[in-house]
Amino acid sequence: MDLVFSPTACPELELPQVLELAADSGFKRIQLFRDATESSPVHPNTSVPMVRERIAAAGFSLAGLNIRNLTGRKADSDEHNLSYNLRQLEWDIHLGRALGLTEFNLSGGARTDEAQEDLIEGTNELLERLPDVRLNLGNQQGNRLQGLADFQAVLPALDERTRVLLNTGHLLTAGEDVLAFAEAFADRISVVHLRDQQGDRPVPFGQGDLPFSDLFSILKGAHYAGDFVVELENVDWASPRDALSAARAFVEEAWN
Amino acid sequence: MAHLTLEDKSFFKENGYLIKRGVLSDAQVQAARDALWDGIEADRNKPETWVQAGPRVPCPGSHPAIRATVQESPVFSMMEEMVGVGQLNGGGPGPHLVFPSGDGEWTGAKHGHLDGYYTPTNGVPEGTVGYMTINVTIYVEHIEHRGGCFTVFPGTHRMAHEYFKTHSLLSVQGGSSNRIWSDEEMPSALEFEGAPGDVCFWHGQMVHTGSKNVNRNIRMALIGRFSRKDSNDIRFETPDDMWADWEGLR
Repeated sequence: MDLVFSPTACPELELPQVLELAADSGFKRIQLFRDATESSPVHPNTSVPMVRERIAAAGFSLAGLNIRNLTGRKADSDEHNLSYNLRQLEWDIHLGRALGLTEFNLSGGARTDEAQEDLIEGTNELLERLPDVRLNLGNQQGNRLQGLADFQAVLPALDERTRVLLNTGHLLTAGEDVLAFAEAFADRISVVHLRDQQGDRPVPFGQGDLPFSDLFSILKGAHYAGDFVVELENVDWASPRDALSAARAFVEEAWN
Repeated sequence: MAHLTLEDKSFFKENGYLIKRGVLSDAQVQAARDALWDGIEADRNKPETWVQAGPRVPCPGSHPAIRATVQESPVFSMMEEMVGVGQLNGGGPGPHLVFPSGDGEWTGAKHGHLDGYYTPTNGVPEGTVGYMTINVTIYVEHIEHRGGCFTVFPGTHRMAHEYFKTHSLLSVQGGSSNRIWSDEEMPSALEFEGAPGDVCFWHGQMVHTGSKNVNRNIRMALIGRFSRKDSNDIRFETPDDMWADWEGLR
């Protein structure tokens, strides 16, 4: 079981500072997000080789990259244009490949039939074009892939190299049953993003609604060997380092 | 048979462009020019009708006479002599015409742009940057100073390579050179003046621009952009030796 640092805990920090915080909190692996974080590998003052070198110099390994979502639409006009959107995703994937990655996290588009069709067609098309790549489809509140039923509707039509990213925070926010979701896709889950919440409010691990013990039992039963990404999004604790260390320790104890 | 000399290759490495004269045969030039005129909405024999005429792309790049200017001439082989035989994707050029403006106001360019960058109308997906290894501009008409010459900024290929060692490819909005360098940092612009059949090769990260045409002739240029077959594996790299992947220039 590997624990992975998520820069969503400190979206305003650039990569060197993120790596410092992650190291101080006891992490050795990190995940990056293309958007919404200053540690993004497309930050204006960062080249891809610089990202690679900084991660290696800090003694870290890169666990994954969250790329843009497969929405089937143009970002600047919202016009339906699947091929345009796929070119964006393919560019992100090649960026990730330059960082040494072979699997990528993404979600879908709006909660429409069209977005669902695009998700199926687009995912299969990307995987056909990129034979050395795996895609982890993650659940997001309000997304085409919000919960159990959404995944059940698309997974049978997707290439086997499509795996599931279980995001506990988004399941809790959406009012979805985390355990039912985990049971349904246990053998296809490749990465887990962990966030504990009371309702939709993030809280320190163990103080919220996330049934860690039962979730881990399900995953162990399926011989889960993927990463656990520790997410402390939107938290307002005095010391992020202490909060991260505590979260890491909590997960290690709960798993073991 | 080699088309380029060592001096040619050294010039390209230093300056980022290389002009070769008379590369196309008269028949190839004539066929391409005829294809263009078939789509131009003006009278070929009445220059006064060429002013502000159109369209800028009067025939597709897939037209056999247009494609032949690269694939059935020495042009592609010349690029392979620099990049490496069998390393480039195929393809052809597309027409890029600049019609006479009808006035006499002309100023030289201080800045240009890098190709491959998103604008709301150019078809490049937002948040991506297209990758080109080597490009070529082919003239099928006499183009003189102030005649809409294709214009390069010599040496900017090396400046861009250094810049992208420490910056994201996405950091240059619209690919505009004035987002990166001041007027003082930019080298002087060089207009490619030439005759039908003349060719200008230019590095894929060369700052370039078009210019206003205040002469009589239509700026009849064909521009082709070519990428390596392994572009997806190298597009984000900035090796210390920027010519590491160019078999003919190492």
